[in-house]
Amino acid sequence: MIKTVTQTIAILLYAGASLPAFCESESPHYSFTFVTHGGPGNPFWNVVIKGMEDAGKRYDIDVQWLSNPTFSIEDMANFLDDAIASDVDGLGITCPDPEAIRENIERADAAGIPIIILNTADPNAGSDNALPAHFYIGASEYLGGQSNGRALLAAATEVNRNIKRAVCPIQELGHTGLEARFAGLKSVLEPAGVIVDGLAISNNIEESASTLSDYFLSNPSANAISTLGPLPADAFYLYIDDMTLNPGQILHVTHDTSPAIFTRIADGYTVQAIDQQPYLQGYLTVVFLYLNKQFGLSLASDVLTGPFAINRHNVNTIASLVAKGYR
Amino acid sequence: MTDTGNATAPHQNKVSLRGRMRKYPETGVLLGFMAVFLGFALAVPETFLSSNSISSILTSQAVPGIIAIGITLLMISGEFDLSVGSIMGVSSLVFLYTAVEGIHVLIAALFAITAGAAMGLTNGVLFITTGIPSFIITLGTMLVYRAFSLTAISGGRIVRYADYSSRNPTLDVSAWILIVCATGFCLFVAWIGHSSLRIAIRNVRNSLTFRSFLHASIWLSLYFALSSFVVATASLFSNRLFETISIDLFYILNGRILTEWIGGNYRMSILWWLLLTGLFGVLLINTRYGNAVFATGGNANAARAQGIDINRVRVTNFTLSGTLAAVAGIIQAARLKSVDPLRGEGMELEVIAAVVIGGTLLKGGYGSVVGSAIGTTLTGMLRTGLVLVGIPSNAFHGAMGAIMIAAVIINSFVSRRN
Repeated sequence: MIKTVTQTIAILLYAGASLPAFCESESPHYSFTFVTHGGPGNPFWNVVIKGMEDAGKRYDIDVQWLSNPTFSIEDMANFLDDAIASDVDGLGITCPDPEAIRENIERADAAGIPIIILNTADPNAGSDNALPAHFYIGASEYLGGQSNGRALLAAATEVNRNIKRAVCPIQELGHTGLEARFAGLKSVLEPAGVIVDGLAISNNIEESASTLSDYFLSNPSANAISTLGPLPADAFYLYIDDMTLNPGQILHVTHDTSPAIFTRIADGYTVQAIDQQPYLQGYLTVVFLYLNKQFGLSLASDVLTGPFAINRHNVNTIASLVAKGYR
Repeated sequence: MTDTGNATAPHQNKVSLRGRMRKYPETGVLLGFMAVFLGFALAVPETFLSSNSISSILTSQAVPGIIAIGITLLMISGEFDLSVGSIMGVSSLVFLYTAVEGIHVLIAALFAITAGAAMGLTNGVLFITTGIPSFIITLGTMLVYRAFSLTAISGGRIVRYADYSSRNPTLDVSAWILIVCATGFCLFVAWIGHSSLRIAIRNVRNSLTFRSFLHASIWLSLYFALSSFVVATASLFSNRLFETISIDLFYILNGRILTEWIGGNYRMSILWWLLLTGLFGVLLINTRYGNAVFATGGNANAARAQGIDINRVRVTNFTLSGTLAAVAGIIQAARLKSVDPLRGEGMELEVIAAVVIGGTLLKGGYGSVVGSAIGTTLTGMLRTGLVLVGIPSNAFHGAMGAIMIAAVIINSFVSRRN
């Protein structure tokens, strides 16, 4: 009996010791680094990071996230230098400002490090000026705006109403992503004969609710709104609660998610929320870097993780996944 | 306040109108206010003069208005506080986090105010011990305090009261205690201000000028508000003196008022704003402390020579500024019933702009709490007015800035020293 046990232990020990060596011969142990303009502390980025870590575990890859909590382009360049110096096998980067990181990225490319851009696309993609990256994994803000526009029109048809005028409050004027969402919305609504107004608001919920109240006061025919983030959505909810409006009286769509948005979708106040599935951005970047490193594979086009529409049909499933950190 | 009585009346006639107006920092902003008000009232009368739009202006400006009081005191004493927005954020967070932990809301509010005061005190102590300009110190603490909120809400998204409890927190007290408290409070305020009211009325009797009229009407309206408050409280509970009243604390902090009478979205926050403006207005004009604040900002060396502990004045003002930011945070959190990590971001510049528009000088020594209240209302009026006029969103902030500059030009023309 004792002999059997010792033999078993010996075999297990041997197997344990030889397992990494065996794996290594099949696939080398890679290390990938993400250098981004946002990171831990922000609920959105936490989900991207979870995706990255889960894929890292699944494929036995060391993954590392480098970012500064306060957005700084210089830091991105410095972090890239650190990553290149530590001889990483793959890079996942965001691209809010290609020129600030061009030199580092070109150096990484010359060193044979595969690069994938996630979350924020290279504005020069497709041109000669594009950064030497494989492709982009992230959402299309413009398509998200279009999806919201179509959802508004469909919701109006469902209740036999016409949208005469719609408003799109913008919390950061000039922000490329937000302006693209606005442009997408307009590209669907305006051909349908809807007047679309932009409205300058801020991330101050109370003040923005007042501005919305002023807007609807001076535009009584407006009966649809598209908010571009969770805080503006909260401002809208504050406004409709103050005015004691019924669900659907002003048709509402929004970008991004929050517990309040999920509740309001379930209660019928919000028609649709656009999600960009941040988990996929982290997870797929690791997967595609691995496939490239291991087999030289790459895709011919970008991977769009959004728009993904959340509406009354799927809101409950998704809300439960938020709690688990996948959405 | 001391140049009263018969002797001043003939003398006043010799002083130019502008000379007389600049004695009151509010007059400049009042002119700007009236100009902007008239402009919008003529452009979009049916919407701008509606209860909805007036309540929208006042309700959205109450919170910055309360913060502006502390900034005014601080700026008169010659210093800056850029961290008020972050202090407001942290205090709101302390308030809501403690409240959802099941601690009574009054104690949660106390915690939040203590946190705000402590952060203000830290600013003040850093300032006097290092001698680094307050602009830089508070720029640094603005980022540090913001990091508190950002790290505390890292896992969650927005802290919501509704996730923990479906009903608002209450305080159960006997009705007569309420009436006694209300009366006692009003008597206290009346006692502080009674000499000013007497002087104001005597001035109107002696010579009816714009200045004496303005002064007296401000005081009379304050007393009118106080007495109506007592009457309202008493009549509300007169038939149930010994019943236990369950007070909805979120309502008291920032509930909706006047809806049945004039509609709109007026809130308790407006009353708190008026009340605090009145209290600190009196503090600044009628007390020795107020004089010390003006002296510290006007000429620090002269103030020191007069025996004023200028460091103490500054530290007190930093602490007051932090405390009022916390009060504003609590009041806003009671309405929104949620806190996000960005709460209060950008508030500092908005408030400083409103205070400067209100006639307080950036270099200190001159300013008024009432002026700041008017300045804050003016900025709110601009925002609402421009939306009602239908200005394109991209030009919105530009138009707001241009009109602000115009208002300050009027202001500085009035207050320019000869």
